[in-house]
Amino acid sequence: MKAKKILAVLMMFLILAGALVGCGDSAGSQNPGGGSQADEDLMDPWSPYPETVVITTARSYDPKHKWGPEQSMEHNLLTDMIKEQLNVEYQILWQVESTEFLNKLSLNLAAGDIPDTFTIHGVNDYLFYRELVDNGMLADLSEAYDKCAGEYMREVFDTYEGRNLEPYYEGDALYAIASGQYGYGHSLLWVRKDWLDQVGLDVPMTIEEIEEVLRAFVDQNVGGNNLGFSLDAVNPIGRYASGFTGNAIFYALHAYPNQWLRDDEGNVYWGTIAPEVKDGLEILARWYQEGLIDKQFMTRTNSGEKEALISSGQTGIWFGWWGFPWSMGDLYKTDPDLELVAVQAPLDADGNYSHLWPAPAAQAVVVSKDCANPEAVIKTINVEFNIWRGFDAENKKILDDFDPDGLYDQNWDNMFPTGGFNLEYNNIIPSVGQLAKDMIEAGTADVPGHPHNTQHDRNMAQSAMEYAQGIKPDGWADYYTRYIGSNVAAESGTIIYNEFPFSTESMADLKPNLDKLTNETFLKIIVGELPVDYFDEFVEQWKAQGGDVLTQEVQAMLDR
Amino acid sequence: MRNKKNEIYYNAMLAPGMVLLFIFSIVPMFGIIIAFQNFKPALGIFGSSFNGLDNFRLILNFPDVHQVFFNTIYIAVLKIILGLIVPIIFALLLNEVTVGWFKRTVQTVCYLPNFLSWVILAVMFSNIFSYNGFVNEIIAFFGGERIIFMASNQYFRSIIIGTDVWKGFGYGAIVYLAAITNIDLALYESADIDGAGRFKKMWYITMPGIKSTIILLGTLALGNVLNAGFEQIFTMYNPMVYSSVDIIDTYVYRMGLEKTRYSMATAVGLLKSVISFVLIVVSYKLADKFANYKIF
Amino acid sequence: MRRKITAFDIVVVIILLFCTLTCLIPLLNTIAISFSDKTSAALGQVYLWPKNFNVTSYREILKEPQFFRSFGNSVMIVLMGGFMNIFFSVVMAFPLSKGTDVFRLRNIYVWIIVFTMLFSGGLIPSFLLIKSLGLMDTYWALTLPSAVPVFSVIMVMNFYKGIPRALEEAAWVDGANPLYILFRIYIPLAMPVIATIALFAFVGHWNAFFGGKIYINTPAKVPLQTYIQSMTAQIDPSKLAAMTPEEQLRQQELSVLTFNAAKVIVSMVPIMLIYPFLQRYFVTGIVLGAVKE
Repeated sequence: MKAKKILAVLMMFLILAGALVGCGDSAGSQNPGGGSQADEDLMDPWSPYPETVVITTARSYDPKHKWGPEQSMEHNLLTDMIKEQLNVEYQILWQVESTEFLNKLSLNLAAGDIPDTFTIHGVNDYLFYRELVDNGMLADLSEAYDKCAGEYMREVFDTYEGRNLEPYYEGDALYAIASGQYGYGHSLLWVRKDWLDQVGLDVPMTIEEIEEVLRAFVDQNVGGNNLGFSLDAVNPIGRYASGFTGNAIFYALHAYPNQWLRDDEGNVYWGTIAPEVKDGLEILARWYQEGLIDKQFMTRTNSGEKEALISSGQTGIWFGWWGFPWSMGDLYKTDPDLELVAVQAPLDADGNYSHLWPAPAAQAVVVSKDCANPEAVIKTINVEFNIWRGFDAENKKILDDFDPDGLYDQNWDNMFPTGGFNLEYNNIIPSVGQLAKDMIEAGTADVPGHPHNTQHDRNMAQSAMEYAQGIKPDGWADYYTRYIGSNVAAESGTIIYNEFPFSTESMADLKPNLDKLTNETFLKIIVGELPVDYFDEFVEQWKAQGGDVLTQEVQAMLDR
Repeated sequence: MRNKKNEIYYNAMLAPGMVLLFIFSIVPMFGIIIAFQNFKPALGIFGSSFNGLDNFRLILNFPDVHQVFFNTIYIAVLKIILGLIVPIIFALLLNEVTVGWFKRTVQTVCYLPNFLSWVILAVMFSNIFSYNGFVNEIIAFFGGERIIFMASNQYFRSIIIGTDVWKGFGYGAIVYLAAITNIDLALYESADIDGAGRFKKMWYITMPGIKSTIILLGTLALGNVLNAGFEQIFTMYNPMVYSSVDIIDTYVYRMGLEKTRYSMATAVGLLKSVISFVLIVVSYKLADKFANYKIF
Repeated sequence: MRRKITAFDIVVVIILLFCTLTCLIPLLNTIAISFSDKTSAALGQVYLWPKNFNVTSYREILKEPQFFRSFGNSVMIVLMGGFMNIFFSVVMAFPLSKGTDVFRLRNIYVWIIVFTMLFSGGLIPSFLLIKSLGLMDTYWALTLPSAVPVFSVIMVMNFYKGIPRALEEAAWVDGANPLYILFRIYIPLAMPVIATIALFAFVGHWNAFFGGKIYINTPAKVPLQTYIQSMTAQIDPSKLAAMTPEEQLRQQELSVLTFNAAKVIVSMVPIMLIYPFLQRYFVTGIVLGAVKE
């Protein structure tokens, strides 16, 4: 009957459909060279492959980057040099803006199809990395690393004492090459010197002195519309390198929010629930009430808004990293003679300064199990940085000469096949700071410097020096970042390490809520909507809503 | 017979479209299998093991999932109700205007938002509702306290619903305006003779006259309840307002991709489709019964 | 004879004026921001009039070839997808408008079509499918899945139902087959409805952004709205906090309010141009397709 016929047709369709959906075409890596190039000779870090090796990759692209003529992410001067030196070509399967990179990768992962290599963040994307490892999708890079890692890579990783690679070992197998995250990016206290002079005060070093300066600024309305001190609207007590947060005040009170710490018995706890945090909140709440903090701070969520406050002269004291002056271009334009002071402040009761240290790993390069030549990726990194750091002076010159508008400098990751993976010494900031200092004190660019200094570093230090000498007004940013900022950040202080920068199983589910609870509660306490004593109740809530679970999990991971 | 021959034509006309629908709408439905599996990307659909209803048990215990379903229904229902009322009122009011140029201008301006994408509107609204933005300026002018709309769980939901109604009211009114012109003028004339005022005429003649149109649009919208506007919310939301505005589709997107919880995400999606289907069957039957109206 | 203006009239006018204003203000605000300077915009000081008028943002757009490429991509997609939508709506609605006495399978088809409107496999199965069909990074991926616009089909179907059967029967007497009837009789009569669904189709494809995000791999091929969305996307603050300062700096430079506003305005231009002309047609069209006697 008609119905039976329809049913039969439907069945046919069902089978056909199932076949279509299930048979995902796994693109894998196209490798005309086959799998037999793992010769001993080819494990040499620098020798080219006899036949071109094609590696597939996926990249996150920067919509604002401007390429020069005939340059693109697929083909640019750097990729040409890599092809020339190693006979390795990179084929970009897809590109997407960085905020969506992980999502797109995830979709492709669901289809069981990942590129030969790609770069993710070792710490932020750690759970994703784990998913890859647990599904057996990554290649073991230990042999390739042993045999092919160049000298520069080894030297750099030495400055981290191997802490950057540690989390990526499963037994003896290494599943990611993670760059180390160099330190010294903690927030310093920046103050406008002209305003300090105007109120006749010294650079503040303690919490009380900061308060005094703030009070003077606000009471005397220095600058015309002094709003006081601006805090970040979303994370008033932020993480390691967030600007505009009140972190440093807490550190002076020995409170370290947003970190996993160990107490004296070796038990791990989340820094935000420590009782000292309450003291910090009390200070901020009092400041807000007395008008020392920008009354509207919690609404300034527009991108660039807080920086705009500084450039429009509405605030003159803030917390920021050593490189902060780079976002201060507008301020400098209106007031070229502006002098800023940076200090590691506030100090604690004993006159010590403590600050945080970043998580050990930053960008991580992973290679798919299906890639026939995983060592090609490591060799690529060798060549990339050999050129970029200037050891291969000839090619570096070619890049420098070509660079349109100096943008390649800032957006170098667009050129590199390995994207944002960066090799940088752990002490790069202090070493460049020292170089600038040497130059300025000697009055000439001809100083020995540190063996790690590259020509690029020297250029920047020289720029700072020339500003100091008054011959290069444009060097303002370099002067304040490389000379002032860097050296202040390099000053000694107690380093507080994050015991556990990674994620645990439940963190993805529970942490966002807890963070939200924290930020909202703290915001309310600071603006006075809730009393400071509410903090105790907050701690109970935090524990109950998942904090205890996470603490246990972290403890378990650390005890492993 | 003519019948049979024509029927071949009819089937042929439908064939290409049906094939496309089959490939692109029906075939992916088989992927729903993932909801019943412990899906591992490395093994793919055919290799992953089944775990029956475990995923469903898991999501039903997830506090987030309850919130998400609640948000979806709340937002969608309000959008539907207001999306019916506002255009109707607008149409009724517009109908009362006799000055041609005024009517046309209002219409032209008010139809426009419907044609703008949410990408564009998200940018516009984030400016309008920012702390120093237009809305807050007005509030401050009248002496009120400024509100951080974009980060507030209290207000953001209303913004989502409000802006959606804003986008559609002009365009939605067209249908009603048309339906109004269909009403027999004689009815109005006899009402005049009976001495009815403008408002009474509106209430007793115009409204009932467009009843069937209202029912049609209302029931069509009902089946769409659980959609609640992914594109709008995706472009406008931020983590601060997840708890009030996260709908099924945005939740699935984040769970499924960022957190690679493919099975769970697919299970939530499946629940959504099932409920939608039930709703539209219900609304079809209701319309049939109460308004004698077969929608299709 | 001039009608007296009553209080009712005034209320009506005020409410309508209010509606019109709410529709205009966001537009004016965005235009103002696009012509203002960066700092004022960031501080939220721009309302209906530009502050420190400048055309920098617009000049920047001219320097971004990708903007125009995406513009062109969208035009292509709109034409491709739009015509497919119109074709399928117009052709498929015809058999569906017949009763079951003439077309036995009619109800089955209708329910299948409605079913597809409601049920969907979800993001991941759809992605898997497009991938296995080899359609990734093509415009087919953006137009084929939505090639049959169910809502439009229903609208046209309703319209066809309203065409007197006598016309068709007369054509049968003359020996016409359904194809002839459809193309020579029904479609010419259905022009207003077709204009309407054409508008739906074109605007729908122009404004879509999500498909471009998922299925397009090459930045050069990205449609306009996807491109704008990628530039204006707000970054998750928690991710921001975990970035190094250098990365944060980069992020900041990506999202400048004035640029975004300018891009938004420019991408609206086609719609603003076409819209007044088509307004006449789509009003009639909707009426005919949706209102039952």
